[in-house]
Amino acid sequence: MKKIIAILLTVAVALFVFTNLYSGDSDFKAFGEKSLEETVSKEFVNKTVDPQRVQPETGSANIVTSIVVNYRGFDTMGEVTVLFVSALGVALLGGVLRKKVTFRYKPGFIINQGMKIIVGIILISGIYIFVHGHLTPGGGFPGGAMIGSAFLLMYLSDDKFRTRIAAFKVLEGLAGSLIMIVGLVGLSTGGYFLYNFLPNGEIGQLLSAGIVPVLYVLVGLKVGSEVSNILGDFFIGEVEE
Amino acid sequence: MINPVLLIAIPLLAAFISVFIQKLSWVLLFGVSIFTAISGFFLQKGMFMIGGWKPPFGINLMIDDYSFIIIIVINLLFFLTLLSGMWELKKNKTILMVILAGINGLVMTGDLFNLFVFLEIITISGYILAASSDKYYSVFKYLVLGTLGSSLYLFGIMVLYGTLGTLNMADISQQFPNVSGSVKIISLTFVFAGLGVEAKLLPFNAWVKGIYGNTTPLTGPLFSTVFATGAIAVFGRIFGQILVPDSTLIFAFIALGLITFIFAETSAMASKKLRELLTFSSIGQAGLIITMFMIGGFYAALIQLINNAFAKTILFSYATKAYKSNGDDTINNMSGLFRKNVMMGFGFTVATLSLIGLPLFFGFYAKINMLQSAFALNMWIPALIILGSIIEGIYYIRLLVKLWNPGEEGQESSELAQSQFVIKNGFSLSLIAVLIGIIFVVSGIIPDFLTENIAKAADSLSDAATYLSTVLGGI
Repeated sequence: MKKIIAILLTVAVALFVFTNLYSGDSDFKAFGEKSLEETVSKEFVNKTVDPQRVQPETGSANIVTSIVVNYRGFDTMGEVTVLFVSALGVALLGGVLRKKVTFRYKPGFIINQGMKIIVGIILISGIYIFVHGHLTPGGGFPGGAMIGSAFLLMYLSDDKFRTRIAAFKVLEGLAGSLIMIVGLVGLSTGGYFLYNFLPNGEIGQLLSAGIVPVLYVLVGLKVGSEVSNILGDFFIGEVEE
Repeated sequence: MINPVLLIAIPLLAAFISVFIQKLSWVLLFGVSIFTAISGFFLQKGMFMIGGWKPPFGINLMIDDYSFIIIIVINLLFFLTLLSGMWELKKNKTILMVILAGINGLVMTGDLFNLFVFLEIITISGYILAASSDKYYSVFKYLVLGTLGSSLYLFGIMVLYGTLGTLNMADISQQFPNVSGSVKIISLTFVFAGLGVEAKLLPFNAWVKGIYGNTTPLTGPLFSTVFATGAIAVFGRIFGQILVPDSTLIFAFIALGLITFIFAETSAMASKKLRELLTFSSIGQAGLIITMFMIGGFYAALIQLINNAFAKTILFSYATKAYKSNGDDTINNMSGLFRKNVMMGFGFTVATLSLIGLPLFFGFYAKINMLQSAFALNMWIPALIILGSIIEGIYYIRLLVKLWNPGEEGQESSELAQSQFVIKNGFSLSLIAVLIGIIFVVSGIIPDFLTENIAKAADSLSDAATYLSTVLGGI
């Protein structure tokens, strides 16, 4: 009975959304028909938000990055905090996990040796992705997640590698504090929190786009260490403390 | 004068530092809380751009009289909560600092998506803190409903962004009246449902009983005052100023608010446990305040919001402390408990009397104004408000009599029936109780200082034109 009510409710909500969004007089345009002229994103694409600044405004070749880290950097700071809180939660609730996780199948020789080759490559590509976040697609979050995946591989391939890496705790806190400090330096030099106080440089160069690469490297390090910490908490729990 | 972004940045910075210097986290938490509580009074008003990008392109913080008074109240309440939950902090110090930053951001932000981010921060922190009660089933329910609520809110602002191409609150409030009716209905419904989960409105509040009913001296006052005040304040901002619903939908919203009020007060009447009773009372108050915001009685809504927040601090602190010390909070077993701790009894009594709106206390002004603005509309809304308030009055007075007076109802009281309960570590609680009691009595006799500021805040909420020109003035 519960399931039938749930299905009916879902159908009702779906109908409600569909009829309202696609009724004749709806201002919600179908995909691809919305004109960019009256949206804020047009200015983001043209980089013409603030005519008083040195043009081009953000200096980052990647439009998404310029929006995510520069125009709406405050949101990114918030999202980093969301991940931070979630990692803390895993650490706090990790106590539920009373014994070490072991797998039914022992990792074999091939996985063990293959890991040593692959981990380095994954780590390097992860770092490459967040260092080049302002030039190419990617950035701090995907790069950090890749670093986390390298550590997942380490945990899976080696039974003896089950120590929590204490340095990650420090790195996580340090990267987070530095993000806030970069923001506060902007407040004291430019008068606005997260103000871009570094020169923009030439578009396409590695050292360009002001504080964007700085923030993205910090975000990448923070996300990477947080994901690795979460994995460590899941694999080890509270056993070793 | 203090730049409001510091109220977000400093707590976050402290939270990150406390990860690798854990010994200092105690100092950091109290230091940050005292800093925000004091600097709330010296907050610079106006619009503050983040990164120097002017609205609607960048994100901005908005300090008008409305967010000013809410920030002061929330940061004071947070400090009182810390005092109440001093012995429960344990490993939660970092999370508490993040909550402080999140709740300040939630109230100050002028951007709908940024609001979502801060909403995520405080709800996720909320799940983690709630899990410290070991009631994992209720926490899981909260997790599912809270996440659903956030997603619904996100969907609502997605529709708005797809239609208007902007996320800035001022920009949206300017363009919203001209949007076609169907988009209005869909975005309002989803935003309402999404925020309704945190604000504890009726169809979305199935999680509240399990979470509020199992609180500790830390989470009790935190959820019922800090979180609730923040959520309802955002509700007022969004539906009072930014997305003002038109006549058809607003009746549905008012009806939901009133139904929540009446049902919760009736459930509270039947509650046998103190924390459960307070939980239902909290839900009822949320329904009442949201109704007031919806019918346009901003002044009354704000007075009641502040009145309820301060009253619930001491009520929940006492109830959770009693449970913590004795492992039980059945009201019948607590008879005469106030005789053992008179100071707490004084604070509790004054707070309760103010909450139900008796004359001589601050809450009286809330009830009077509420009825005035409701009678200006029609007869049904004030009738229901009076009905709910009478129910509330009855169960609270009955509770007070029980707690002061040992013995069965209708029989002569005797010291034999005195409760065996004790309150452990009660010093900070007595301090809070006396402090809040004095605030209520003084503000009941000389209400001018508070009411003037609240009136200013209510004016700034109803004056959308000033908000618009402050934010978008430069364009």
